Amino acid sequence: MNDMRSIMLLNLMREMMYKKIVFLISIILLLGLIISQSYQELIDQKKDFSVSENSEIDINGKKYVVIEGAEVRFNEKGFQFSVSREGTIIIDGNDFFIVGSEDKPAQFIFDTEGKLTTGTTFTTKEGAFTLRGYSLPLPENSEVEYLKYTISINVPPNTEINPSISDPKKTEGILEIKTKEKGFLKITGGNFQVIDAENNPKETNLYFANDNGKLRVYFTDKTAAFMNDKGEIDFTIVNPNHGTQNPEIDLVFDDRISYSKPYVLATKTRIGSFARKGNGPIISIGPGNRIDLGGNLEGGNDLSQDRTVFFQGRNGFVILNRGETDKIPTLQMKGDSLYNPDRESFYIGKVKSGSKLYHKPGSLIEGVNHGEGTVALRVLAYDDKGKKTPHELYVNNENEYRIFSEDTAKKLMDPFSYIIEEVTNRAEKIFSPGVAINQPSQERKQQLIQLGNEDRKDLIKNYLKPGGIAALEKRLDELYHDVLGNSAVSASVQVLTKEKNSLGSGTIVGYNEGKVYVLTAAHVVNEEEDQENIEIYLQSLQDPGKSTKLDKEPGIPGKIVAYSERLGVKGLIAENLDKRDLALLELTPDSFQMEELKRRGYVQIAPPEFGVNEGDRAVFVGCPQGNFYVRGCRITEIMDIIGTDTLEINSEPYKGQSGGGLFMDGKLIGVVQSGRPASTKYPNEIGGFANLESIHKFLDENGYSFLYKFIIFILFRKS
Amino acid sequence: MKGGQVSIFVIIAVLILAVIIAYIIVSQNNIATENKIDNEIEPIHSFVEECLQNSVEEALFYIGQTGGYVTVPQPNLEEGVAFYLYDGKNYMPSRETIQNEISSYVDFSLPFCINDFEMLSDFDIEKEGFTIDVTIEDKKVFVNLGYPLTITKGEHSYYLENFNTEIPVRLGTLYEAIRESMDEQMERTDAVCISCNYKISEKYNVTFDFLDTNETTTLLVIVRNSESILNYERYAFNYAIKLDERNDV
Repeated sequence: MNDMRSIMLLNLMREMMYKKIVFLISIILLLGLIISQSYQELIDQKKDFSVSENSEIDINGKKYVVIEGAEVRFNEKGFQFSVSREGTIIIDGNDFFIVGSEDKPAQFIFDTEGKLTTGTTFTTKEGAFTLRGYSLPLPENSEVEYLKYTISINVPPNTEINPSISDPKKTEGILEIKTKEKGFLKITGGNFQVIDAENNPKETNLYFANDNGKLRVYFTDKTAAFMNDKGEIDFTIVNPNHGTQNPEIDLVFDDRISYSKPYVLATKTRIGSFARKGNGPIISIGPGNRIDLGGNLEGGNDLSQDRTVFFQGRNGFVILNRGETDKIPTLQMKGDSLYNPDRESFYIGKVKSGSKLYHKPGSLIEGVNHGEGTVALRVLAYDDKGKKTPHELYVNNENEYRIFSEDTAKKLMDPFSYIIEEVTNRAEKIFSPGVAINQPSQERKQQLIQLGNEDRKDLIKNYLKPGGIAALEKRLDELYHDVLGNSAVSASVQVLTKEKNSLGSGTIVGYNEGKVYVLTAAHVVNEEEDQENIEIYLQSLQDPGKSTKLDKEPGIPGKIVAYSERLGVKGLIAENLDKRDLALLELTPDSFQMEELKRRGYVQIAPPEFGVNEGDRAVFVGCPQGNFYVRGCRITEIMDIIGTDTLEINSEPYKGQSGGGLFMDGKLIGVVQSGRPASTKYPNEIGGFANLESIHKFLDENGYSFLYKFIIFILFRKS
Repeated sequence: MKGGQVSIFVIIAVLILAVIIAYIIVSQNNIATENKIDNEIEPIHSFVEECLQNSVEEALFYIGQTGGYVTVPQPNLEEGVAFYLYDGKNYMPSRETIQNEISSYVDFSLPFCINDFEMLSDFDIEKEGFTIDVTIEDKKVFVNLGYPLTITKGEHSYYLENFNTEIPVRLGTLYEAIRESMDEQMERTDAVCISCNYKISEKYNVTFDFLDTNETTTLLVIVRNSESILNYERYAFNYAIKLDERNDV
């Protein structure tokens, strides 16, 4: 019985408990209803109120979920929510993840139709947002501000921003994304960065708009860049329309060629500047470019600050295309577009007879920073009808430009390989260029090859860079013609002794009664062993700069007819009246060799009255290891004595140049005898030569004075 | 006068005439004609033609360096190269002008080479003033030297007048190529039409090198033809162009 009562009591208690719960719930609902009803009444009466807890409210038929503490206010233009805490506001079905505070409350300003409008500002928590139809994820601490047509969003630097259009019909206005500090925005085309004129990063600003359902991306700053993930410049963009009424430059990340506004094309394999009318963006390719431009030569990326390339679409386009494997990139040009490598300009110009490809020295693109060189490219031009012109321009990284017919271009594997090989390996890959710009002539290149490295560097530094190719050629002319006369180079020979098998150099200094004489240094030959075992080799006429020995031509036999040994002690500046380190060779050529010798001529030994002074510029020629070199130098000391090493220059001859001549104004004024490299002890390198006095004395004593005293009558004339 | 006496006079007159004719024939045999140079005076003929050839070669080299001139007129580049385009005007010299320039160089330099025939002192040479006629042809430059020389050696006298040389420099071809290039140049004076010049280079088998100078708008142009060799080098004809200043296109 007791059990029964206990069970009944328990059931009663349960029933009462359920009722209490139901009661409590009913009370809560009732309170909520009362509150809602009271909010609704307030809303209907457009009276301001604070939300005591998270609530859903209805304003003009639209539902909003506001969080506890939010203040709702009304005015004649609409209403607003002010939120001073963290939470999620839901407006018209869209979540707003916000962080508000007393100091900086989130403000949601609505117009009478319930649309968010000017004055709306809030700071975000991380999340996906839909703002006036644009869907985009935003990181924490983004600051959103609604303006009349624009939503401005300040995001932390280096943020990934990829908005999309959720509903083309509902997406309106412009989305402006700004970085709070210096930094880029990561977008579809890469890391977009606004920069200053010195390529320093600034706060980045980018706009998005609904263009008939497609997302339009553009910027209005003066200068911007795409950076790669390593932080290197992919390419920079200069906005020529900055400061005008239409300052927008669009960024397009697919091949929409028909786009009407000025724009930058940036796909994985193409970078382009387009402007159907007027000026398009100026593009400068950076070292971290996606096209791998500049990475095609010598294995490395040579697009540094020193190598630049600019282009700009004008009433047309310029597109830079990644080269296929092992091929240089291609630049396509149409309209009045410009291609501006280094400080040269190329463009398509319209004249009465049609569109033609023009070159203009100097930059036609304003406001860009040119470097000291360009990169290798193939350039194609298109006429007004879009038809490719029948010429192709090739550019190498030596600032040289060549134009070819389409047919010739097809046959070229690499139009510039010969330049590299010529200078380094001297392979004979030469073809007619037709038209070349800034192209040293073949003869000049061979002359450059003959120069020593230091002289070549000197020419490039002191002539090529400040004065261009013309200055370089002029200086080479001075070296090879004005200073030397042609014969000093061609009359220099390589000397080989059969016994010692040693190599040296010499100069043809005259002839008499069918005999040809070569002046050299005594230490190149050996008076006893080599008496009649000497061969000399000329400079190849087929391949100037090389010895005929390398062509496997037979040497011209010769013998020693005068000899004055070298001073035994190795070293410079040694006075010894009897030891002059000079030898005179007499050649006995066959008739064919004689004809070859005749073509070279000879160099006169300067007479005693010839003025040679310290400080004079001279050149010395020699043939170490089968290659002839012409090197410039300055005479640093002339001793008033007879002996060995009695004239000094400021350059050390190469091994194998011994016996070669020192020349000034087309006359021989010395013979190479020794050299000393620069060291910590001796900071300047030195070359030691026989002075004129020693040479004259040597010839006088051996009965060969006629080699400098008389003008030899029988000239080597062309047969 | 009897008929027999008349006959004697006629016979004497005929004999005298025959002697005169015979003398003339014999004398003429001793004078070299243009077509056949007597071996005796061949060294003189060769010497003059060699001097002429050297002189013309020098002239060609020189005018090639300067744009066709011995005395380079204004406007010219500092280095002594004539401007063909300057201030929008075409200053290219006519073919006749270049011929005259070559002629004037030879006129100046030839006497130095001939040097009063001092090298040929075995001969007694009587000379008059010379005339030079230069013709620039497509494949060569032909020069005729009119130099009347009366040469006496021993008892014999000879006469030489015409000396010729042909230099296988295709100056006429180069000239025509440059003329066409300049025609194109005048269509647009602020830039160089490289596609046009390429067409011209193919047509005339020449090459154009456009080289920068110190001045941005000035280019040195070097035109060459691979078949024109002078002094073992490809012959080069230089001229300069100064493009109009223009900052934009």
